[in-house]
Amino acid sequence: MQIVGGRNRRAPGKLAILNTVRVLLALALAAGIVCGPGLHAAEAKKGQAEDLDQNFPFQTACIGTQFPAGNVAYKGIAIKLGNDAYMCFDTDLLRMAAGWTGDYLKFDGVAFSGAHGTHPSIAGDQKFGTKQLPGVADASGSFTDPRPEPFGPIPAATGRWDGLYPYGNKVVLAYTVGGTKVLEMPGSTVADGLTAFVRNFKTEKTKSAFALMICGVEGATGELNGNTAVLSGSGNNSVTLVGLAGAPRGVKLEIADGNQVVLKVPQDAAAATFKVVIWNGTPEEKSKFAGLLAGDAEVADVKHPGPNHWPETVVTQGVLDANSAPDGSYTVDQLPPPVDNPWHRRIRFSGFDFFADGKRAAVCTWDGDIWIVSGIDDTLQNLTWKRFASGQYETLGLKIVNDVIYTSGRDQITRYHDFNNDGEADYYENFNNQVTSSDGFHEFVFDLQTDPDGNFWFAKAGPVRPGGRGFAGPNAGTISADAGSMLKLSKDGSKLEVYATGFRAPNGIGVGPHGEITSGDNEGSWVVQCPINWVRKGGFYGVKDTAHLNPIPQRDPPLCWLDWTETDNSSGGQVWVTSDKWGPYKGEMLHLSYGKCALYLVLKEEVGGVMQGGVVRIPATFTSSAMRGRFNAKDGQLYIVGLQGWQTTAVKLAGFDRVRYTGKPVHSVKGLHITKESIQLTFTEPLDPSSANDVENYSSKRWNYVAKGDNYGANEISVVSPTKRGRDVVNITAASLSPDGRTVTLKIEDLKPVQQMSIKYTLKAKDGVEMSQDVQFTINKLP
Amino acid sequence: MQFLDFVKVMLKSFVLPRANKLILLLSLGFGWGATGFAQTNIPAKTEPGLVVTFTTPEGGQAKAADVVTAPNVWLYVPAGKPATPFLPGGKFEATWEGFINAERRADYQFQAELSGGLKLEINGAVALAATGNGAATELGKPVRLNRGLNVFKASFTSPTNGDAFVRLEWKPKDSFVQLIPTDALARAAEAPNLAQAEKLHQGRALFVDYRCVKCHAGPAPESGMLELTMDAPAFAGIGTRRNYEWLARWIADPKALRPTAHMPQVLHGPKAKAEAEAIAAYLASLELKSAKGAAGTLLNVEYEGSSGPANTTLAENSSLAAGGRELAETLHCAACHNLPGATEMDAAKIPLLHVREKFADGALIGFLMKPDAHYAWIRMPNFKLSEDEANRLAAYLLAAADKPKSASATQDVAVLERGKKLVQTSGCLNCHVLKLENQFATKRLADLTGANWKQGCLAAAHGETSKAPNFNFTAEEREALAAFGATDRASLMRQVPAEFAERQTHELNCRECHGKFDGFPSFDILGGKLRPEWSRAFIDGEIKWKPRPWLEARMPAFALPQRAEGIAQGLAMSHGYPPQTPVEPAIDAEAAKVGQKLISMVGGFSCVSCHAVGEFGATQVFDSAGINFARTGSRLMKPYVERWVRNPQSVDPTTKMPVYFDETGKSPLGDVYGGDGAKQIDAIWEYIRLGDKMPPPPTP
Repeated sequence: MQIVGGRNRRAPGKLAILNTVRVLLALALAAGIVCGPGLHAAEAKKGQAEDLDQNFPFQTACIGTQFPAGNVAYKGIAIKLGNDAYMCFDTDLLRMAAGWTGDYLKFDGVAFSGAHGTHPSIAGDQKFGTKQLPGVADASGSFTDPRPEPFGPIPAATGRWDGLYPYGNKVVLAYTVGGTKVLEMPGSTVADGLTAFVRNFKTEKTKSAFALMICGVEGATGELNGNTAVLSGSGNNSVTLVGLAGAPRGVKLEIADGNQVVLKVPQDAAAATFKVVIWNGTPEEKSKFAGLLAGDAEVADVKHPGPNHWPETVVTQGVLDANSAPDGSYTVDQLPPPVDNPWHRRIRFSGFDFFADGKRAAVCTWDGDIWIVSGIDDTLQNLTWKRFASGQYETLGLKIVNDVIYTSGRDQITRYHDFNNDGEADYYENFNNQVTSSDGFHEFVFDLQTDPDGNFWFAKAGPVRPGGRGFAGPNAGTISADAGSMLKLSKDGSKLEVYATGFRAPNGIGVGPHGEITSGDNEGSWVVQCPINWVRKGGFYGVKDTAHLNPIPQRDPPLCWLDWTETDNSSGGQVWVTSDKWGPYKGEMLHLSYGKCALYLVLKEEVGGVMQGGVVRIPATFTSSAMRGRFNAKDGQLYIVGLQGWQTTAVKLAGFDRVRYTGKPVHSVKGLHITKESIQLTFTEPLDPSSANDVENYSSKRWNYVAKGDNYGANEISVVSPTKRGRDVVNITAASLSPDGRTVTLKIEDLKPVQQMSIKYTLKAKDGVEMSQDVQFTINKLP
Repeated sequence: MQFLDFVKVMLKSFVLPRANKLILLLSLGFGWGATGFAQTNIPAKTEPGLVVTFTTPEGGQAKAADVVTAPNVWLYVPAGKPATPFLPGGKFEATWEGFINAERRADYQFQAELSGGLKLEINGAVALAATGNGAATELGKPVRLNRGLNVFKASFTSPTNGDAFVRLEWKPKDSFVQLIPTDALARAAEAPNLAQAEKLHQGRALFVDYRCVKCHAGPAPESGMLELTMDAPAFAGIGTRRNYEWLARWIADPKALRPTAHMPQVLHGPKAKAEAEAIAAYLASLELKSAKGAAGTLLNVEYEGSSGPANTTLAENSSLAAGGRELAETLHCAACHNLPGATEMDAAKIPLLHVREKFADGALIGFLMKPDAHYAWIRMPNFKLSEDEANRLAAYLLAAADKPKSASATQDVAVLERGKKLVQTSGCLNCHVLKLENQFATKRLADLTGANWKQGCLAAAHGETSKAPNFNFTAEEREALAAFGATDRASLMRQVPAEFAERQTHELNCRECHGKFDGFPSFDILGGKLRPEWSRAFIDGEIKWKPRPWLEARMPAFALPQRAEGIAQGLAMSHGYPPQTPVEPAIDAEAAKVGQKLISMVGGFSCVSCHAVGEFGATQVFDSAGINFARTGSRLMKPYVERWVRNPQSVDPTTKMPVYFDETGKSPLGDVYGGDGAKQIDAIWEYIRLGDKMPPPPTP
């Protein structure tokens, strides 16, 4: 693996001249360790809290503040302003939630430190704050919260979050208030030893009057002195001053409710660039405030992007045939992630998609980066990784539509624009931010897919409590409108709807070629085992806390349950085989197990309007977990990414693998059909009759699950005597092979609907290849 | 030799007492082993486990034999010690017979860790034939098992020198060498020669359980079976602990109050009631003069006498009682007791509705806090209750219990004197300790001949004029005692830990919690899991920390050092492990360093997601906390750690611990020891062995 400077690329195998001292240090550390292909010797240096504080102007997360009481920015952009000053912008409420100096953030929380029940918070000394209320006034001039619950964005008619432009070490925030486009570049200024926060605004001619909440101080008294508002007397020898500079005619500061400072902008105010300066200090220093107002307001020209943040690229070499199926039909090629990167960014892949050329893919990470990898070809010998975007809120899904990247995060679906084609996003557009989000650490937004009509699909987890049992409450968050739901977003991004409910942690969904919607889930409270859900509109998938329905209906039967000991304890997504070049499975669905790092072929059939079936493993070993999968339309092969965390068998933080069909015959079951008294298994290759007709070559068990309520998982119970724990042996009384040698009919004693049944066998194919398989399935209904 | 002939020979050997001879004398020439168990037909009904026949050469051609059942082909017999109580120590042979069950037709290979010789036959074909000197044997040739039951026979010969042991394992095709799951082994439900042998074991167990030797003096108790030293509740101060009225009824007919009582009905005839009352009155007069002096070992002497809360006061405190009810549930008291309000009364469990009648004011709390204060071998363990907890439990039990009848003991000196005399002459003092001259005597064990084993205590009926205590033995029990009596009783002098542990853990109801409740380790794996030294300390109540602090329940102390040690060692031996952990090499510091990385989130398996390391807390526990690593090295046997890490669900199907290694033992961490899973597990073990001195793992 080499790290290559953007302008100093060298041939693989030689160390390039590096453009940061930090990289040299990292390499020096790694030099003592033998580092083979795909191995990450410097992994030990990754992910430390200080490294999470990246050299980038912002990080989006749920951000905790120090005041006023209860002030949390559920969707907060913590922005570095220079001069050790910071502000946090709340994109739900369009308010500046807080300003502080000193240290940046405490990187707590599940994504950053792994800790449950917490989220990042202000690390320095907070200087100002706003109440957790809309930061823009509605048409009547009121800042009261019109939302049915304190989650999700305020109505777009009042104010809409448009997006963010990173510009050098600054950011420019874009939003629309009462129809007027506002660009805001947060900054800081230092004068005479004082540091102040600067909100630089650039407005077009205003379409209607609007007001912005600047700050408030509990217990203080506000007074207006020309263009300066003073909040004092709160009793802690502190005073807060707000000054307005360069504003067009009619724009002014006002005191509201005695101690809140509001910026008022009238209708038809001229297009202008002006600023509001906020300072907090001791009354003795107050006199120096005028110095902080000096200078012109400045908002970067976002139409002309600034310099590239990450000109360097990282090159890794793929490993072909890292492991293969016993019959040689499928082989796994590894695409080593850019673990050794100049910015010490932690790599935990959480979503990806291919560009139209099939040679490049965009890959997102849980920490909120997007990388573009090029060089995806037969050899994988020159995989070049370019960092494309950063600072996002737990991006766990990525989709490319017409070569434009979309990601799903806790805060929003983001669309990325690279105006100058330099391989870096210049505008992070809010495609849709209607998804609700509270301060729960477990409210992941999972996956991002599109259906044949172009609609987007993703899922949101329920706010599981720390420790795993139950939902919502102290340190767990709130069951907001979208918690535990399958969500559908219209093609144009305008309309988000809850499609189905009752999910716990569906870390991965699937959208079929005809718009079939599926999901997995994670075993836990109310989820007896991981299911594969065949999701229908309005369906309920088990978790009562996230049902959002009254009364709570029966759970929709899953396509199948997956036994956690052997098959899946934490599901990833589903992928449909759309490729002609991937063996005998075109049109079939695949299921990924995050927990077991495994790939499954889904065997399904519809019986009386209910989908049911099971899975059989496709032998492939992945670098990390198997969380997201896609077929590359160009080479027709399956690619898988995944990350490590919780009870997964993954031992690498991230993996990116290709499951390549070699052209050799595949030996596997590919069809499961239930009849009244028997089970038919159809195989990809003809079987040896003497082996297939020997009933002793098969074994079968079945069992049901009883939930432990709020507790994790379920107990297995006998089907025959339900008061008994454990599995029943199923009597297979006969096995007979069809004349074409491809279908075995197993006669089953007392065949009946059951939550979990497995058939194991070791059989010989006609060509002499032996196969041992475990088919695990659910019978919802007998035909 | 037909089976009936065999039984006749056996019985004959029982009824003819032969000094210095062993119980069972069989002629080798007739080949018991060869035909007696030749199970060529698959029986309709099977039981778990295997039938084991032990034989020892007894001069010339004769062999002494014993037959037992065992869950698996596991055995450990120290050199010179007997393999079973019915055989002398020294050289022996053991044959396990039954069936091995395969889910479907498949090939398996067998291997054993072995000191001695072993021949394994499956469906009549030799699957393994090896002599081992302590290490694992080579793998045998693959054997094809048919679906369902396959005839299984393993024959072991003890080594010439050193301890004998065997631990048989198998290797399914395409998988690794592992323990044969116990549920894959089965035996015929009907095995008549087993039944006869079991009768002897039962007779011997009854003999010690009912304290027969306390009256019929025999071998010095200290040198034989541990149970020969079993005591009964001491009499000193009993008047402070028990109510007179209850004592009188108990003495008159213990079984009427508790069907499982071991104490016999001593008094018969028309005077029995009055005599019982006299004894009770005398006992009730035995009050603690100085609570502190007489009960110096008590935890809470103030409750020993009547200074604790009165039963009525506690019974009327409904909030205390409600708390007690909850606590009784948490502590799983129902494992051994029929709790108040239980819908079904289990005759094998001890009822609790009598506690208010039985316990004197304040005494129940003292009992709950230290049940063994006056009775070392009591089955009730010490739950290390706080005083508050004991109060709650007592309130709960007293509130639900029947109210005592208000009869008080007479103070009539003549009656008390009569009671005292009866205590001295009725045999009470043979079991119950009191500083008082014992005037009771009866035949010594050595003098009890064949006919004696059907009379007296063992008479089928006890008439009004009977002088012998009535234990209410069932016909089956009397038969078992008679069968045992007909032996030379040398077995009383043979303490065989594996067998002791089996009997005691049954008596103590260990399986009522272990294996029945979520989160408790299954009883059946403990012997192959815990170091006997740690296990002893844990059973004896010496370990002050909870291995699983998240469990509401707690392991109580079965505090009695010799019993705890016997159980701990016996469990290990019944799983084929030695009674003491063998001396281990010094900790490999280099390997420990590798282990430290391997358990971390930095280039390791991320074990720390669920396992704490000393003060370093687990990072991502989601309903599946693991045991603190710093407390693992002293607890677990290394072979268990290897099995567990290799495939946790093969040990505990309900564990959330992931499987990291493939069937060939390859680790996904290819950069450590070339991905050699066994070496990586070794390294983790070396790190874990550091115990309290484990340095914290690196963090990302």
